[in-house]
Amino acid sequence: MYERAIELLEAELGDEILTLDPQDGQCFGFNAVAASVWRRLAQPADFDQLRQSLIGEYDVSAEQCTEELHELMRVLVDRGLVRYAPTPA
Amino acid sequence: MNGHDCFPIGFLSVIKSPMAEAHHGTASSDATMSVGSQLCTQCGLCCTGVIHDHAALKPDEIEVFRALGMEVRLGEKPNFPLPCPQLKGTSCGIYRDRPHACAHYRCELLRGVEAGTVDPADALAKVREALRLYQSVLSLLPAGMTMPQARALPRSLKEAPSGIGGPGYPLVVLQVLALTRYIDRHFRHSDEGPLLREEVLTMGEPETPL
Repeated sequence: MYERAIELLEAELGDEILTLDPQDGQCFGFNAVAASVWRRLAQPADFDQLRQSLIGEYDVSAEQCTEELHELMRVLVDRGLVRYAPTPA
Repeated sequence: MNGHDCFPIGFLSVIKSPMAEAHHGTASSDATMSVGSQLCTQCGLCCTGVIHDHAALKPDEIEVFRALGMEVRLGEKPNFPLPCPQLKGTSCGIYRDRPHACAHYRCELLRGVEAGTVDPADALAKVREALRLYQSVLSLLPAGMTMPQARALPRSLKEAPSGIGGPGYPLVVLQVLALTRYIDRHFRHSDEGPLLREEVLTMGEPETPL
């Protein structure tokens, strides 16, 4: 399961969001699709839930969505914004 | 001084358009003002320090502007800090004698309107939104603090200066960043680069850095 690892302050600017970590002052922008994933992660979700949510929201193939979502999640985890906890077997 | 944060001098100096005459001023009646002119006179953000930290002066303008009591910064690229003290509402108080850089400056939005690539109504809506964000930021800042100063505020709550927002300081910073991002997207020229350079997390479409 993926879940937010940090609470960020958010400002909506059209369909994108701007975030600020109040503790270290780090700022990130999220484009529309990344913002959608971030909002979805207000509650923990697994990869397939995130992917299905995006496929339902955007006109994108399952293959492309999977590839790009993997990359986004990797970046979110690398930046310390999201943590991944394997689901117990 | 960052050359990218400065009005360029003369980059459109060979173009003489009705806009060049009416830009930010009071020339002409509403009926004859171009759409772009009306946009400028309802905006004025390029004079406030929201888009740039300072505006360039030509060498022969230095003494003229000193005589007006304006702060002039010398050096390789003479300039004056923004916001401009001659800004009256959204109009220039020295319109007929304004610096060359001011007379010829076009923000990205205005360029789009003049080129026919941006709908004037959309442009006006963006101006109004930018003004709304700007007024919101000003209401949070200490009296007299300028946008260039606000952009230089530390972003971390741990480094928060006293007297700005108290525990709500991060919200002040976020509002400043949001305004700056909006300006980067719609008003700054792409060749000037953005004021915000933080990472944009993207999926599904290319994105320019913040």
